[in-house]
Amino acid sequence: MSAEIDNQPADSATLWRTSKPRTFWGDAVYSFAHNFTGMLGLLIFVLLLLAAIFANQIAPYDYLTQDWNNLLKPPNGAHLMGTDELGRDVFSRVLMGARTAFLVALCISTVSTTIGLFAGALSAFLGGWVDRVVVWFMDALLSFPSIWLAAFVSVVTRPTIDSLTNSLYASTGWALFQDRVIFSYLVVIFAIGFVAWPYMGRLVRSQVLSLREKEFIEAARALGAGTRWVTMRHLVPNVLGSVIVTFTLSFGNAMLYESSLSFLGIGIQPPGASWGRMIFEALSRLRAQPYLIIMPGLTLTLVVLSLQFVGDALNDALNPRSHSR
Amino acid sequence: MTTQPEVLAVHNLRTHFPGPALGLPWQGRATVRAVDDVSFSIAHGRTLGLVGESGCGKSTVARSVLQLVRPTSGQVLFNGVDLCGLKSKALVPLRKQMQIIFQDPYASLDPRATIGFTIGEGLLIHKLVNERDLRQRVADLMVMVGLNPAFENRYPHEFSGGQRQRVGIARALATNPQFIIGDEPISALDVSIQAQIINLLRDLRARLNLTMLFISHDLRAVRYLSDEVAVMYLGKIVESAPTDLLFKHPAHPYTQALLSSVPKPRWAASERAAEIKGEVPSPLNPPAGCSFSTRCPHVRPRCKQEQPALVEVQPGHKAACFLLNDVSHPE
Repeated sequence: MSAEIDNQPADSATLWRTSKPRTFWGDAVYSFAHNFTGMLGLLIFVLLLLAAIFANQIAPYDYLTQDWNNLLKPPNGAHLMGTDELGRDVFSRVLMGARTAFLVALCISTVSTTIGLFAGALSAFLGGWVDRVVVWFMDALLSFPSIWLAAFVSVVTRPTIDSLTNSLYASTGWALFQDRVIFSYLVVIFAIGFVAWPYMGRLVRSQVLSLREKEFIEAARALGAGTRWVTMRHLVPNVLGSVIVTFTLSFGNAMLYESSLSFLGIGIQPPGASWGRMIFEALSRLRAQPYLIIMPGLTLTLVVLSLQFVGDALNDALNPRSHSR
Repeated sequence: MTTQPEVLAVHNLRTHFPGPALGLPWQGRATVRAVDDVSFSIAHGRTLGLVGESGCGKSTVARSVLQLVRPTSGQVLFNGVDLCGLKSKALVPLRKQMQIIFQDPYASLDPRATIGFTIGEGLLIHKLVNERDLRQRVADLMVMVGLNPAFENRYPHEFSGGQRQRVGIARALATNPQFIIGDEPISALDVSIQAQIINLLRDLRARLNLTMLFISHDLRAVRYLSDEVAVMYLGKIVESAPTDLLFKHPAHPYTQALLSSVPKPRWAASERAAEIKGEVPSPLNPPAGCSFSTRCPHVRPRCKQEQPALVEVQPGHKAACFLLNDVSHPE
């Protein structure tokens, strides 16, 4: 009867005690911690994140102060990344740009993930005409070139968001709502979030739909599991893996989109610092002062790449199939 | 024929599904009659084998009995309680008592749950044990089905098909059910593993005094495991009898054809009995008369118009065929 078990212990009670019970999440952490590129990506990401958070403390100069005695200086001891055509310290500007990039990207990916998660799950669970409308809407959004759509949305919604912040300022009196930089943040967050959520929505919908038909869900129901149990113990662990991975990748994408919009001049407005804007302003000096483009460009590449590494490692960690042990 | 009380009694079970739309929107949808007027009962400690070709509604019977699919009409009496009348909440405590082993050992285990969790899931849902006892109980169950308890922390993909099916069996047995449905538990396995799993089921049935509904299209397995056999065709039971009787004296033409399709050793070869041709009709549009009338070698005009009832041809042996009323039973 037990022909296929070659190492059946004589005393069954002894062997199983030697190993601690493993859980899905515990295993995922273990697997991630043993992934070199994943940890490297996480390290780079965390370092840059810390640099963005403590930009005010790290930056040697104010990012707006113009030093007319030091125009277009290449990187040197006093200015680590040189100065631009107005004599502003590029290093300080890259740090402030990082702050913008992280803040905006975090907001965008949080917003788009939340919307996508709810829309996708709702669509899959309710089915019927709700499903049809949501899918139709997502397909419509996905059929546009995304950067074009984001640009369009950012231009079209600008007056609406403007009047919204104005009325919020009128009712609360917070200076926050009068700030033009924060206003441009909001426009960018709305525009890119609007473009980005269908990716998550589609993913979640398809995952939930395929999982619900699986026999192990039926098995859980046969055991007496309610909707809550099935959702928490089976659907979430199976869906969350890909959601986390997609969130990580969408974070990097959001940064790229923000830089693209700012590069095109419809994203973050001066005096706000943005890598895309910095690259755009330095474009005419590509030959003479390439460091003006290389510095913000390289930083952007580094962040997005590190997020790709993290996403890849998470993908492996959250799928027990690829655990190597 | 037994004095044991019936654990499960199914009366006139019908499970219909909405089918594809009928062309125009106001015409509504067709109805798939997956299970159409099925009745059977299983006495305590006995095993009923349910046979039929794929698509005949065997699995729908299993799911309807367990109320995983709500039947359209009919009664499912489990120890005298009609499950069809119960709300989902009221069913939960009863689910401890009745479990199912699924066909596909790959799809039926959560790929992101350790098998220790999968096996103990029923115990956790019904809060039958505390944390410490849970591991002991899971280990016991794993030993019982022939798995090494040291593997409790492994994931399903680390196991072979046979081992996974053992996990499925352990999960079904965790809550000490008295009634088990095996929904084609061996058909996805290699032949060599099939024998192991069948023997395991047989051992466990004897040890735990289980009542079983064993669903399969493998006649040899059914013959080996079942006390009684019911043959299904297109959502209906066409013949039911104690195993020996059915295999020796099949009464219904469909059963005869089914049995003649089982490969036999050369020395036992008998004359090729009725061969059936053609395809199973669609349950969307079943024949007006006898459901087998489109393929039956003995078909008569009456068969095309009326549906034959399941009548007793011998004590304990029922079949649904008009021929049996006219012609005397073979032998």
